[in-house]
Amino acid sequence: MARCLDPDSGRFPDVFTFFLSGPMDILIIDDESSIRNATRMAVEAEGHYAECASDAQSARMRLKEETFDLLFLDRKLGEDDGIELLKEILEKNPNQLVVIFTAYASIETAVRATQLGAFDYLSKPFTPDQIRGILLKAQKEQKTQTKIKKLESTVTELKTEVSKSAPPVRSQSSDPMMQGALDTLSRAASTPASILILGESGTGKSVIARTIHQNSHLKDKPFITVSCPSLSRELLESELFGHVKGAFTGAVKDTWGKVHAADGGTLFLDEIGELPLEIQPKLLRLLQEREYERLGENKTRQSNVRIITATNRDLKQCVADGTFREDLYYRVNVISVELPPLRARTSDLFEFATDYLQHFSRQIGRNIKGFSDKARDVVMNHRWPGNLRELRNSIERATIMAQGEEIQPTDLPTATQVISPAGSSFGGGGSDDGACLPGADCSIEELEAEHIKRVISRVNSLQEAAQILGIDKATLYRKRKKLEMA
Amino acid sequence: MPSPNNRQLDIDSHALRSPLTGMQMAVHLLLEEKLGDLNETQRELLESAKTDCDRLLKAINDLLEDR
Repeated sequence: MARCLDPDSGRFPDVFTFFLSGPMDILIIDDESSIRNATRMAVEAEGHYAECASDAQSARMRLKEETFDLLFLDRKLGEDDGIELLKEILEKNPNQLVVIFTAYASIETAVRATQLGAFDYLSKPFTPDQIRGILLKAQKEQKTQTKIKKLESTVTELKTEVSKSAPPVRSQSSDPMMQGALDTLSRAASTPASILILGESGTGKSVIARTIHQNSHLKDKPFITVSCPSLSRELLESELFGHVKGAFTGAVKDTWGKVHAADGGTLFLDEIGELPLEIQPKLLRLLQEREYERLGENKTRQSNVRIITATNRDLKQCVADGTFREDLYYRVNVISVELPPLRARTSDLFEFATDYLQHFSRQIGRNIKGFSDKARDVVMNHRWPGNLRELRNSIERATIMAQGEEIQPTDLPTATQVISPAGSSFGGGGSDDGACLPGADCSIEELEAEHIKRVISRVNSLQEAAQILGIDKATLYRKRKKLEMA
Repeated sequence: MPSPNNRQLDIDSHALRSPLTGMQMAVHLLLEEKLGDLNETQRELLESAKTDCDRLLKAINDLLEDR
């Protein structure tokens, strides 16, 4: 492959420049088909994606439908003026990189174009080497723009953090099983190996996937998530690989998929066990050959992505059931870790609860110092079937409901107070605030009264409460009267 | 506002240099063998075409400068 001098440094570019910067999407706007085709070939030979438009109108349409990293624009487009189109483009997107082709005798045209905001210009007749020089320069510029965008997004993230809208992410654990998983992941993060994260719903698989990306050599590259079960087969395929106009009903324009968006970075496929069988060979090909095609298009494209997958299913069983390809299973399962459920992480559980409490009390401006002993027991003895997600929501609710400086059992959702097979919700004794809960020192009558009171408080009608309680409305009325609740 | 002479010069320049761009790009791309390997005869023919492109460009530049 011929290499050309870097226009800025005057040296040959680093061989990794291309891979670090990734391919660009380029639109070539020229009324001469020979120039369009030759430029497209020169651009594609460097590994970039190129499309062509032969006049101003079709260029406008493509720009409305797609975003391009770089435009090559002829100064004279038949009857249309390229400079007028340049002004129009930059008015809509001042950061758009546009290179003007000019065959005009005077240099003034080119100077005017750059004054208007064109990134650069090329005098006709140009050579492939000059095109390569421009591509390198554009990649550098793009990198700078990406850095600026990243800084902007960091500022936004920091602002969000300051507003305390997201609870903290605990990346350490004192649980031996979790420690083992984190140790494996820290060693695998910096390699290109595919990683499979297993675990029940709510165990933090997505958070771990993002952490792997942030601890990897790809941390400055995109991290793109695709949730496999949320879309129909066709839409999921399009979401992953993109499509061309007319590929299916509703495909009104060309689009790039998440595989393209993640190029050079990490693609996280959440709930991979739900990936339809028809799409599985295409994902396998992407993993093995790094190749794919957009829906409705024959042209093979390349994407270099690191794949992280997650599932709460038993993938081996899925293979045995014939719903998941065995070859794909081995491909995604180069490194696999299982995140233990929260009920098994007893040494971490209360630390998570405390983190969430601090976070949410800061967020709503309350000074809640901690949990009462009994509330702590409730937290520790509940089985947390929804894992971290359930814990987070329960603590958020408790923080809102708390009236004193400590979280009381009654501040927590009722479900957490139901006696679990792991043990009693209480260590013994009555309730803190007069509430009577299962397992506490209270009579069956008090327990019944408390249960009825709680059910009535969360439903819209006595009829609904009676249905939940499994009694008729008249019995509920009598009980309320007897228990002096009416 | 460009003078009528300059405008005509611009039009002529565009008309002469644009077709040469497609030719020159094609010849260079082929010679770089990015689109496939060349045999000796093909290479010889393309080298001649490249020389002709260069000569043609020089002639166009001289012609436009003289005006």
